[in-house]
Amino acid sequence: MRERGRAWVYTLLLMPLLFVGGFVVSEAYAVLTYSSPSLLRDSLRNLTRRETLEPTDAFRSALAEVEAHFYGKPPAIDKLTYTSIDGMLGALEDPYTRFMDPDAFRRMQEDTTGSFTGIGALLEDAPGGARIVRPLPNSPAQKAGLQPGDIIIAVDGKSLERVALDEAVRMIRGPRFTEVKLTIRRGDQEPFTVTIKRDLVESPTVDVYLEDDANKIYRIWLQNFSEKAPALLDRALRQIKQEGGRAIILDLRANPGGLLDSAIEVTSRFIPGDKVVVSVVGRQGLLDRKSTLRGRYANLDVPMVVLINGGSASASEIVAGALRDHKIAPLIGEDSFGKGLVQTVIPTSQNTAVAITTAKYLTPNGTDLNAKIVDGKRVGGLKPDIEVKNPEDWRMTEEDKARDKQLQKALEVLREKLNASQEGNGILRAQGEAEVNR
Amino acid sequence: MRAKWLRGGISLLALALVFASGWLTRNLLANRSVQSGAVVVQRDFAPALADARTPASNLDVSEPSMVTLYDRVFRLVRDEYVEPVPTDKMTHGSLEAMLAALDDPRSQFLRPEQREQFARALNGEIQGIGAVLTVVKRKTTLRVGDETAPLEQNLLQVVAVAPNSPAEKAGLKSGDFIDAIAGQWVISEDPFAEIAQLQRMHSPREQIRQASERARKRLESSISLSEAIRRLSQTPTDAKDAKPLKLTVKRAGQTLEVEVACATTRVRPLEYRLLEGRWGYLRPNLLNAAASREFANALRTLKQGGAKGLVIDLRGVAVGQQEPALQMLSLIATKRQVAQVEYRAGNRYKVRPLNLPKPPQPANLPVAVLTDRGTYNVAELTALAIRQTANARIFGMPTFGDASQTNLYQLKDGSGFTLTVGRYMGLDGAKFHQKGIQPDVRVAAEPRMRGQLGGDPALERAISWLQSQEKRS
Repeated sequence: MRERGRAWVYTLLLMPLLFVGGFVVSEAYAVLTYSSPSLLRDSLRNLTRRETLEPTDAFRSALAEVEAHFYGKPPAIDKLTYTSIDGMLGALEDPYTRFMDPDAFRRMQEDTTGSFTGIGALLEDAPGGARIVRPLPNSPAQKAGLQPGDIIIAVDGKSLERVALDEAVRMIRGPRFTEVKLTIRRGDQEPFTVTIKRDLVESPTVDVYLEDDANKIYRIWLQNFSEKAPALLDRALRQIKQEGGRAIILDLRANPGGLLDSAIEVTSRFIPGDKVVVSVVGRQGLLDRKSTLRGRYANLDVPMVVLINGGSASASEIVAGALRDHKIAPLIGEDSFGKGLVQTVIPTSQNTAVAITTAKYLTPNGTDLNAKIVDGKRVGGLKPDIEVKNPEDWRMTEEDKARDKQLQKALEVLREKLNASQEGNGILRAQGEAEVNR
Repeated sequence: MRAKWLRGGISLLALALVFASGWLTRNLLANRSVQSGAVVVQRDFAPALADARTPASNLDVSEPSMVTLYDRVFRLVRDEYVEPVPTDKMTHGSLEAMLAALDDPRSQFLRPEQREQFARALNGEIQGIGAVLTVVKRKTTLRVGDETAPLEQNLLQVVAVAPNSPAEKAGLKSGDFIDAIAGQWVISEDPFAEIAQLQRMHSPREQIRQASERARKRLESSISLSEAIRRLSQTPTDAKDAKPLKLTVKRAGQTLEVEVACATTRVRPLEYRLLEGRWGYLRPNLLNAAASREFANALRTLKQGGAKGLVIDLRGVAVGQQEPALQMLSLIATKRQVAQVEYRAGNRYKVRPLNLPKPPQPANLPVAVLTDRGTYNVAELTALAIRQTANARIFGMPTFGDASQTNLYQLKDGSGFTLTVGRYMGLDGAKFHQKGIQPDVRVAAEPRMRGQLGGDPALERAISWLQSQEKRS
């Protein structure tokens, strides 16, 4: 009898415990499986008052409403998605964090490998079509016998009469090994047609000019930092050595940048190993410090200057900043563009990719390379040591060289240095540099 | 022995029941919290919207891979970007872009503050200059040299001005185009269209350079359409910002400079009176729930007062929603079906009837409806439905011509969006989008004193028709 009574007592004691247990287990189940609303989660959410939207949920439901109910014919769903992603990334107000649809992603891949498939000719706008400025060496265009001055008036039978230049370029480019039929007008001759097989074309990266024959001053125009840039630079430096070059102008104007690895390689040609080129600072602080590579130094002990302008961006600014901070070369020209951000390109599905700014670059001396928007104006980038502005309508062509004041200043500075060092005195050379840095 | 097992079984069962009741109690509480939670969200962020809905979460997207792609990009950026990301702004930016891509001025994303403005306007509290604005598309041609190219314009137009608003005081009129605000050009077309055309024509480089210089100058002092709308539809809280805005307005080929203040205008839902002891004059200033309630009361009072006919003045009525309009119609229309809606079903268009929510209880009086160019959207639908379902005539000027049926969606952070989901049309299939509804009797003269006999020509024509109806019966 006493035993039975005790059993009931236990049962009664267990009851509230089990009630609470049922409550707790149900809540835990709700939290873990999202099967029903959770009191815990909701009260936490209510504490924060303003609910945040899960971007993907909002996107999915809005997209579904548009597809199902929008009166007009909605744009293709992939285009609509790309547009939405563009809008999402636009909120970051960082032009470099961007989404690349399949077209843009393909173009980007072409650009950084320094090659694309086409016919390999520089074109310019001309009445009735596109004029060939010059075919690139070893390009399909050169092999097909195209000459400077030829005017392409039709592509695959389609007239270029009413087609803008960039559209004409798109028509000429295409998959590798496919054929394109060009109708050419050459002088007064009857127009004729050539069929050219498209192939990989190396986009020009490095050009060398002997700017001052008497003083043997060479200008290396580095047009981008593609994969091939270091090798092409090596070729240029060998040429300059062989020809007895005495001074170098590294021209980084209008160079939009490219691969970081190429920038490190290029810097390593001018600075011996293990010197800091750039620091990479991310959300959590210093992420990485890139230094010059050993065994890549070109061993050219000649005076050097670097030309920059508003078109020098990213990798150009890294190289220019490192050469300046390590006192290898003063910078001449205009403020650089100010793109000191590290993008990581991450391929996503359907041949798309997203470029994300994951970190920013600092020069060896700690200058933040990225320009800020202050009162609607871009402020920042590298400041040149000697500021020289070129006329606004100046163009970076052979024909317009006479008006290139930046180049003239560079030559002037180098001639002074050469004259100073001719007297065989290292002190004089240092003075020249101090003057430059003033 | 057996009894012991039985007792054990009973107590186990009891314990299981207790466990289950604990489980159920929690679920019950949780579900109730969700229901009340929804109300809280609405009260916190904006006045309640009669007709706002939550986007369906059960609708499928035809390409789930696209949702996956979006989600992946969002997560990558959230985790990898150099700074912490503004999640709300990103969501807003993406929905804004998506809805803008639909290229429909009536489908647009509303940021929380815009949604609040929208809700306030529906409640009769119009901020800013006190005008209802819209963007109209116009296809025109661009002349370059002796050639032309098609040019698409998006013009900012005044639909209607609210009674006693700063816009009314400044003399803004329905149909005016706003070309510039404080000297800044409201971007209505692509300023580079000319350059693209010059490039297609292989024009000399110098000519292209000059054209791009012009375009650049034009853009330098400019303001986007959405920014323009924002400036015109907000009342600054700061007193020193309260100086009037200078607007450059285009009206019938003329350019005018207008100064208009920004101040909140409160619109009375409905005004009514008995004219000459016999004609009930009803003027809803907007078509919202309050107006529809007051409309019912006013109608009762007017009938008791001996009204023999009604004048419903819909001139300048540009704010409203479908449901309250249908409520009002149920007191006038003699049929349950009052109009039709064309909608898209996949790749095809279909038509469905637009019915009153409950069987009509018509007043059975002749109705004269007054319209003008400011009679817009739901008000146009109302005018047409009255004409087609009651003994009614329309007097005045053609209506604006926007037959979009739009849904208003709310998202839980206080933002929302509108979406055009159909086109209203008459019972007979008559379409009025971009055409407007033609009045039965056209009266072009503008009223000197609106709603007053002796100062309102359209009203006077309406009354004489009502008199003729009275004689006939």
